[in-house]
Amino acid sequence: MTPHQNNRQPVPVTDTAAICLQIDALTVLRGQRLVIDQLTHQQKHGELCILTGANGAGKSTLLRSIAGRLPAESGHIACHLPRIYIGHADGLAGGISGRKNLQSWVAVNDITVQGADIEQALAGFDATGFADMPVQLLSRGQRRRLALARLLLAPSPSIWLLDEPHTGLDRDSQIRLETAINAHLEAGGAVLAATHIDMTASAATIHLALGLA
Amino acid sequence: MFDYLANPSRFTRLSDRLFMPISIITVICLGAGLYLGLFASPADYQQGDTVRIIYIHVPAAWLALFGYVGLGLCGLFYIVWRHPLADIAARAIAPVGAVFALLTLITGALWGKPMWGAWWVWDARLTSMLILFFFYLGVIALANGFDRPERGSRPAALLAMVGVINVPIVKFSVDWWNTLHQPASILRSGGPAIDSSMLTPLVLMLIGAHGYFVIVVILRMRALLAERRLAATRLRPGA
Amino acid sequence: MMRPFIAQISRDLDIAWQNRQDVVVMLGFFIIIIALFPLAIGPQSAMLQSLSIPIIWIAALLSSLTGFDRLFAQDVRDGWLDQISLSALGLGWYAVAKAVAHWLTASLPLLMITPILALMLNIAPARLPALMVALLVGSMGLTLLGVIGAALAEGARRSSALIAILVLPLAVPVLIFGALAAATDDGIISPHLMLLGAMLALLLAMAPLVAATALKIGETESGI
Repeated sequence: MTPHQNNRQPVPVTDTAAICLQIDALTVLRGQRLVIDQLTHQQKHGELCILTGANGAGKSTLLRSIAGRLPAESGHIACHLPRIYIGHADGLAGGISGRKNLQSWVAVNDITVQGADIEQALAGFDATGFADMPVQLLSRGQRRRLALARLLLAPSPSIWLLDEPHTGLDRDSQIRLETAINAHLEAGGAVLAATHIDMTASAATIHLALGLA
Repeated sequence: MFDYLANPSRFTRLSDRLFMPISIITVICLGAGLYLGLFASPADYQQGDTVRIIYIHVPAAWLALFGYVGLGLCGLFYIVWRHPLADIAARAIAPVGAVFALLTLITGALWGKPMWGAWWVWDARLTSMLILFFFYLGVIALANGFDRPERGSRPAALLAMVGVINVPIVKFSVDWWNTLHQPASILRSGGPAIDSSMLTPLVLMLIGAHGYFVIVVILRMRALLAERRLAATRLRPGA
Repeated sequence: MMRPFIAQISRDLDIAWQNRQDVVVMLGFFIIIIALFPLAIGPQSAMLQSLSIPIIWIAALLSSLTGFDRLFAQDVRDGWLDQISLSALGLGWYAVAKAVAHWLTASLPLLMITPILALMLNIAPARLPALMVALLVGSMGLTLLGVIGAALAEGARRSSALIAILVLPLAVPVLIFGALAAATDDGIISPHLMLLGAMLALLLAMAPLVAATALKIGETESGI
């Protein structure tokens, strides 16, 4: 994986059945605790993978490992698409507004945007109304929507790593998220999501159950 | 060689075999060195019997520095090659090296009182050793400063590497500082030249001190390994 | 790299602006430390005169330490660090951007009120240029050291005390040559200043590397 793999030339997807994520015999420790044990997994372009498992089974650990935030004890992760990670934390600074947060996110990722792109992204999750308030004054769900708006600004195709994306979302926002996911899958991207919500995805859905049984 | 030692049980077996020979050498060298140094060697014509403290002061200073370089090496092995024993070795070495640094400072003070009339003099070498002692404290504090103990290994390893790079810089700046602020020369520690009758006990003490260092570090590493194995069995569900 | 780099700096400046009263606290700390010395030494004493430049250096060193424990903490907790590690900016440049933003919000105000404090300590106005230039270069080095300390101690229990223990011994060379460069009779560009500059160059090379390695592993989003 190249260091600046979030650079913005959209990778032309020649073969929609091509593998975009390959995990081989991945073992991850948290401290002394074995959390992921020899996991092997493949994901293709256009696939949605739902991670299931009890609390502490390693869903967040896996997502963070793919995002590069945790080292593997052994095994290998190969990711051929830019990674967009949205974890439990929203990745937003509380002291500034949602709009400014999105602008700085776009800038540090060196994404080329036209003027209206950010507005469209905000509208995509109906966040325009509170986009100018300091984030720390917003509710959990509102912050989540701002965080998810980033998905609409991300380059395409990419792989979305989502950790409990539905947390705090109202029903309308959940539908918007699923719409965004479907559009993303159709464009050749991939999604790996840890969630308890039953997502109605139009594209191929696979399940990956975690946990030391 | 380091790959070979990566396996903890191999390390344990190897250290088991080496332990007795090294201990014997250590005891002989320290014993002979101390006897020759404290009784059989001549007193210095200027400093009298107080010069005998160099037989402890010099090995201690050398090992404090040697220990810190070792710490930096362990840091390198941990960060770059993720050598499994590097962290254990670093945690074993750090307090030992710190104690040697402290011993250097104390023997330096004990030497200074009859020599210069003051319990502490800010001469270049003692000041550098004091800062080295702070470096040791920093690594120890960082390694143990996190709620989850293993979390401290990586920053401590990085700090040790940063510290090793800084040791020559600190030494240089303290030397500079010392010559600029104290133009009057202080008696050079060790005297104008080392006579061979003083050299032999000094070398013996150096070898003995190295051996002592290795023994203590091996013992500490074994204890730390045992501790970790114990902790791991408590965490693994069922097993 | 310019665009992500500038974006990170302006983000930090934006956030600092929301809490701009914190600068007053830090300046107050700086002034109080300096004011304590005449109180302890005696107002007319010749000792005060000769100690004046070192006093300013130590006060600058101690007050610049404030705020380093929070340097990365908020970004870790917000999950921003995760975003940075995946971004075009990368952790190394991010650390440098943090250093720049911190210098602008903490060291620059200190530099601006130093002339006033120098006069309070009866430092001859002729000495002021050398002092200011030395503090300028030295404060940049100290900021980079603080970034290293903050990255290493990120997530630790008593990170503010820990950062002080880590940074202060490493800061000794900067202090020694900074004080010499400020007090020298060799003019503004003295050999001491050049050594100070060399140390700054070394720190500029080391800090992003060390910080990136230290921050690379993000165990949990709370940073613990």
